[in-house]
Amino acid sequence: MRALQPHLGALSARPRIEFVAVDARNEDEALARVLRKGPTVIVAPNGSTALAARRSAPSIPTIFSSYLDPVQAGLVSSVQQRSESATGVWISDHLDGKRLELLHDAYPYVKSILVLGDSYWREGIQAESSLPPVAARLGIELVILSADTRAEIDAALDDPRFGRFDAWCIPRTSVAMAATGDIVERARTLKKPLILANTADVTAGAPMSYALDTAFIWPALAELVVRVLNGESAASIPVQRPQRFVLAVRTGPETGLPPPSIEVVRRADIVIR
Amino acid sequence: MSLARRTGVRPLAHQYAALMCGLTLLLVMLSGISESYFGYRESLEHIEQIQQAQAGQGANEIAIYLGIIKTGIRDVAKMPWGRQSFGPQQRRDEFYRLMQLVPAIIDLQAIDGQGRETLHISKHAPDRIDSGEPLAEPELLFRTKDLSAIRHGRTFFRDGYLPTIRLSAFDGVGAIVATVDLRLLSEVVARLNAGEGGRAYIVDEQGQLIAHTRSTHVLSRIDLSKSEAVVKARASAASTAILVTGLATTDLEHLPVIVTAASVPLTGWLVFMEQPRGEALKPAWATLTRTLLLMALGGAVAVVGGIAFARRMAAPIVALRRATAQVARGDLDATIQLSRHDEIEDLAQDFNQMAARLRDLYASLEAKVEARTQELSDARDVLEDSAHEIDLLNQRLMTQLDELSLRKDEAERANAAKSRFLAAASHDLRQPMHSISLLIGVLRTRLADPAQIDLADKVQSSVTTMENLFGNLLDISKLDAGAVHPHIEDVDLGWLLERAVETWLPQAQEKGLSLRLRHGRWVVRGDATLLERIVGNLLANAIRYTRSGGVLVGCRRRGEQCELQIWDTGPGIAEEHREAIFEEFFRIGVPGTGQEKGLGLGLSIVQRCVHMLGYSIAVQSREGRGSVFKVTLPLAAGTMAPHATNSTMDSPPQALEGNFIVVIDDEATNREAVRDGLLGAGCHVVIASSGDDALTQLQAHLRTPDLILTDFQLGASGDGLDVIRRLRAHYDEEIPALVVTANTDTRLVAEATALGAGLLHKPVGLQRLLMALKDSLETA
Repeated sequence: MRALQPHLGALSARPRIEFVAVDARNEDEALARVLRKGPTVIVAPNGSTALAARRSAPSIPTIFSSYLDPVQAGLVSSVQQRSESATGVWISDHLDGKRLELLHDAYPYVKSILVLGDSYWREGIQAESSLPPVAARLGIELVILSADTRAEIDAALDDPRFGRFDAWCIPRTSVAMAATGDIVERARTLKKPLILANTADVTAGAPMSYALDTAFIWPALAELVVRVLNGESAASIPVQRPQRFVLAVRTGPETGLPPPSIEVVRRADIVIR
Repeated sequence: MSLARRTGVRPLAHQYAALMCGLTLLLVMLSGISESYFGYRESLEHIEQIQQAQAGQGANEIAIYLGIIKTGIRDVAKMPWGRQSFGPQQRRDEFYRLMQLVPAIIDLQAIDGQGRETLHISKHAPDRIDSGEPLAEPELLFRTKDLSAIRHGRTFFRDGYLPTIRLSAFDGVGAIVATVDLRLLSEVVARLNAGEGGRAYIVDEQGQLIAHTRSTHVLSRIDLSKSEAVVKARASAASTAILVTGLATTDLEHLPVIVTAASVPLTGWLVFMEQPRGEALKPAWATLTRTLLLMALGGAVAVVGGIAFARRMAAPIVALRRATAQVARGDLDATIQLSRHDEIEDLAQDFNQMAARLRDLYASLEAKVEARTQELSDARDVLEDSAHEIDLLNQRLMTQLDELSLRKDEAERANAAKSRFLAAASHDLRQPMHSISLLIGVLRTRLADPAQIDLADKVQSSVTTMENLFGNLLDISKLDAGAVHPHIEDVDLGWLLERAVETWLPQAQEKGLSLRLRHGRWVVRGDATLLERIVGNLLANAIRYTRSGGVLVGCRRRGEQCELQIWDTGPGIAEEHREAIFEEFFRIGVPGTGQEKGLGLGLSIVQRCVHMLGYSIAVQSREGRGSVFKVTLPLAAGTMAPHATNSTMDSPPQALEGNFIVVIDDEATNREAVRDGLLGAGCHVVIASSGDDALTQLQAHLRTPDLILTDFQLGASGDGLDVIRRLRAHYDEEIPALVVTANTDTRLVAEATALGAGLLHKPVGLQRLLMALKDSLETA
């Protein structure tokens, strides 16, 4: 709503906005409720919701933001102009190799890193093939684990092997969504360096993150909504991608860790002391 | 005259109002149009100025933004990499520092002199060290050692739609290559001030859109190289910063915009500032709206003012028109009262004076009309009386006319009876007179005693006188009866005069007078018979009244006419008688010998014949000296073969001797007298009472008659013309013929002429008869 405020003047009438919570458990029922309201535009803030909306109401323009590749996921046929009435923002996060490198630069003593993601991510970035060469160039041991449920996450965190690794790397997956706090707390307890894929996590207490700048997403979605409401075809608007990267580090003792190396702190966009 | 108001009249006030309102509105409209036009022009110029400033500022900001990037690259490149303290780690740190300072740089590469990658630092991928990968754009390598130069690569689209460019700087060995994400350029462009609703965008050297206020347009990879704005900007002089100003075109959504373009220094890029035409021209529309409002207000004021003024202007004229209409209806008391102190008031006063003058004139006119009406009434009464008298006179006149008509009819009947009597008397008397004349002629030829011969001559003279008296009586009766119809032809006047002189010579000689003819060749137009009568009567008259001296006949030419003159040495005619002598039975009472005896009809016949032929006659006379009668005749156009003249005319007896002549006459006395006369002339004669008798008589003769002499009226056996035809047919020869008749009908003359026969009217003396026979024989 805040993002829409600056654009309301460009609309001939004030739009009526309704929020509908959609998750895997009530997806069909929630979308049916949405369609009964006859919306002009559907805004889906994540890839799975956007896919469900497109399946339920392909004729209604859909504005989405997604970490999923919209072409691979089947949201649109092209990120440029297309036939589907959908557009939005694709947060194409392929920075896990860079995160390994930053983790190693920040803490040069790290010789082994555990990467914990989910199976969708593992397949999506082909982690088994893309990350080991980076680890090999850095001279570190790399283990990749995946957990798709909370139980699997808890089991992984409780696994004695988890503490054996010098540092942890948590990509932007369902694991991070579900258990970032636990992971951060566990890392502090074990005094393990940790790098995450969400800048907000560092603000919340995590020691380090490297991520695409997602601050533009809501303003971008709001602008797209207004353009579509003004008659522009969603199919003609290319899918946008973030254009900035944010390195955030926490240097204080609350992390239970020594400060990151000066080179990394110098590079950081956000430094929390 | 109808005083009704004509249809279709446009009131003067309306015309004035229309004229004044129209003029005022026209002026207001012209003013508004010029104001709108110049306002529009000023708005355009204002927009152009603003856009020029915006475009120039935008180009500078883009140049500054690029300059920061280039400066950072140049700062990194200037380090003595490879030397002590400038090893790979320091270079990597420096690269990260640069990328941290310039967020648009997403990759930095160190390239050796051979174009191979020695270091690759990235924001999105793990670093590479000594990868040896070749440089994607070899042209970014430097062949010369220029530490200040920055090279631009070509714009390309990373991942197919993210605009990117590479910049390189010489680092002393190879090059430092920075990969720049141009999407951040759109953020710079979005910050540029393009005015209300305005947008800014940048195209590269190839016309590719690389930055736009609306960043998603850049992702669409739009080629603007063919757009009007880019084409015109490329075509303009490269030396100026502002390439296009105030271009009216359409934007990417095909909406009308006004565009200004500027070049970005040290690049081939163009920055465009565009503003929707509606937004740009808002001041102009505002001016136009104000102008229209002012025009409407001014127009309304002009209409109200114009109508009021027009009414004020037209009011005195309307008043004048109403007063004029009153006068036209006959109300001469109409006046106009105006107090304007101008020409209109003068006009009103003139009108009032004119109306007053009209009233006076009308009153005067009415008085005159009344007086004239009374006069006319009196005159009408007089006229009515006169008309009554005229009616009475007319009635009387009609009565008299009726009486006159009756008397005229009676007179005409009496005249006709007189003519019939004269004709009948003439005819009946001619027969015995003819016989007497013939017999005396025969008798004279048989007498030998001079005393007896003298006595016979006197008898002959008396008979001749009687013949003339009867001839004149007959002629005047025929002329009065209208029985004479002239036959106009060419007449040999000289021959005719010779014959007349020959005819009257004996009478002249008898009185001891000379009768001379002055010969001449005169051919005139006329009727030979009537002309012979004119000449004969004039000669007879001259001889009759001349006692001594003589008579001279001659002709003189008068232009195209001939004047016949007959002179005598008679007693002359008194002045008072010169008109009366042409009246019937008028005779001048002069003492005479008795030989002047006559009926007084000769000159009357002459005058009638002259008038009938269209001639004129005049008389000149001196009493005691003589008179001359002049008759003017028209000359014929051509000449006429002259009649053979015989100046030494043989005496008739000798001329006729030996000829065989057949004489037909139903009167025995006449035919015997003629026989005796012809025998006396030495002719062989056969006499017969009719045609049949003639043919019978001629059976005894083998000889064809030399001439036929016949009376016209032969009783029951036919007429002389038939006898001539029968004898000619019998002998199959055109035998000369001569007809003698007491019938004076002119038609008979024409029939005889047509038959080729001569015609003599009774009474005919023997001598005259012999002469006529001689002429007929000579003519044949």
